[in-house]
Amino acid sequence: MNERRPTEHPDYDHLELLGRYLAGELTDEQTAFVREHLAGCPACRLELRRLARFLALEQDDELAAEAAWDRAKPTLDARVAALWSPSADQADQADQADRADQADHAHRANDLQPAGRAVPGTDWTAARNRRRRVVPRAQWWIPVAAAAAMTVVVLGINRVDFSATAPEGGTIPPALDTGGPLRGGEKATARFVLLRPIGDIAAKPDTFAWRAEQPWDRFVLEIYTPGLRTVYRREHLATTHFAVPDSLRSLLRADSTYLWSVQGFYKLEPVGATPEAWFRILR
Amino acid sequence: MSTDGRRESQPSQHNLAAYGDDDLAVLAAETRDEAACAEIYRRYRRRVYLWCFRYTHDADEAVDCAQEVFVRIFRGLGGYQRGAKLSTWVYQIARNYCLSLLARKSRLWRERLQSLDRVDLADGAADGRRRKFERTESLRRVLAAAERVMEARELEAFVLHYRDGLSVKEISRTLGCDNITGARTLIQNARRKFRRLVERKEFADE
Repeated sequence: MNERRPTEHPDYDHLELLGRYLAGELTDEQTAFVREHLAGCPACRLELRRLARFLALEQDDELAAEAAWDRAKPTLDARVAALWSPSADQADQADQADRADQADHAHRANDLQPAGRAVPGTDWTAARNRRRRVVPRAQWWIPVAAAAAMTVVVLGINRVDFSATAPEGGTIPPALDTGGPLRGGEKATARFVLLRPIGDIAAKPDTFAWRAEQPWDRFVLEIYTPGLRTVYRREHLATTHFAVPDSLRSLLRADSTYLWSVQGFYKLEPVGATPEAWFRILR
Repeated sequence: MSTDGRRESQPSQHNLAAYGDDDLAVLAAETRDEAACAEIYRRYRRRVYLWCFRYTHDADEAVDCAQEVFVRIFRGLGGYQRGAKLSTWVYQIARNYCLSLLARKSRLWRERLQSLDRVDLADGAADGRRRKFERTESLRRVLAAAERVMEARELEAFVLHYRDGLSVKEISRTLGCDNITGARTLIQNARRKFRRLVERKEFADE
């Protein structure tokens, strides 16, 4: 075995050796060889850990609970069963899923018995197309929602005052006029709130400030133009305010509009981001 | 295993349950029998699904991912070598598929790196180095360099967190840390060393 970087895939012979090493199926000589190799090869050490973890997943009830395995199992069963019976009726699959949910673990294999004798590997396309319909969804509202969204956009555009001087990066989208969120979705649940600067301000800001209503240990602050070009990005902030340094002050131009937002981290994990706010420097 | 079972054209579920993993795979590979494939699926569905969940962090995506893994398993059964271990073989397919899924979401790596507290953009001199770093940035180069400065377990934690995108909890389970704090410390140490590495001029000028 040659030494490898942790990112390269060891080839299958090495994996096979590692698998047999874990299972204790190697001769003493082979075991000694594997041990010696592991001592000098980070890639294989990592691979061994990964493989051991894979094998241990069967007993990991904690992760299974996190991953909602009990809820996912019927769906997965139905989809894999559909690989063999692409002609099966969709309703049958739903029934199968329901039954599978209640059936005993030991009897589950019976549900996988297909009606026909389709050989796996013959017609994957039909099965793949089908899988998207395993969970039926009402789709009549999509064109309606699209039409409504178009109406809102058109009405919104008509309300923009095109006579105003366009700030750097173009006209402010109407959604920004409130200083509110531009890209919605997950922002609605964020518990970080931007305080200042927001809206029209007389001079270049001295401080950026926000409020945190959930645990955090560091922040990333980003300032960008309405065209979403990043002007400034500051990482590893340990406070809920940021004093503007001269280097940033020189980047901000009067009579320009900027957007800014803050992303919060807690113990290495991102825990939320604020909605964007805008500010316009008048002088 | 019973040799009778292999001679039957359609082994019953009862017989299949008695098969060892590796014999079952040989049977499935030779006969392409659905019942044998279904038995393989039954034995590995939980592991494959949980494995996928570690990478996708989402139950719906993990179901999609696990289904694709099983498609590859059944499709690849023809190439299964007699004498190979089925568990290793399934693992290899699941791992390769999940990593290729990650590669397709290549933005992940970039985003994860951006969240590293490595170089302050506000500093004009560092800015140039950072841009140079980003231009030449590639997974292999980054890790080849990281390997030189980190201890073995730190590197493992670093790769699992920033490359595989695993949660800190999952890393602590994979690396067998006593508790979640142990894994977090490993990642923090690795990140600190990596930051120092990136800030060193010789790396940027490579």
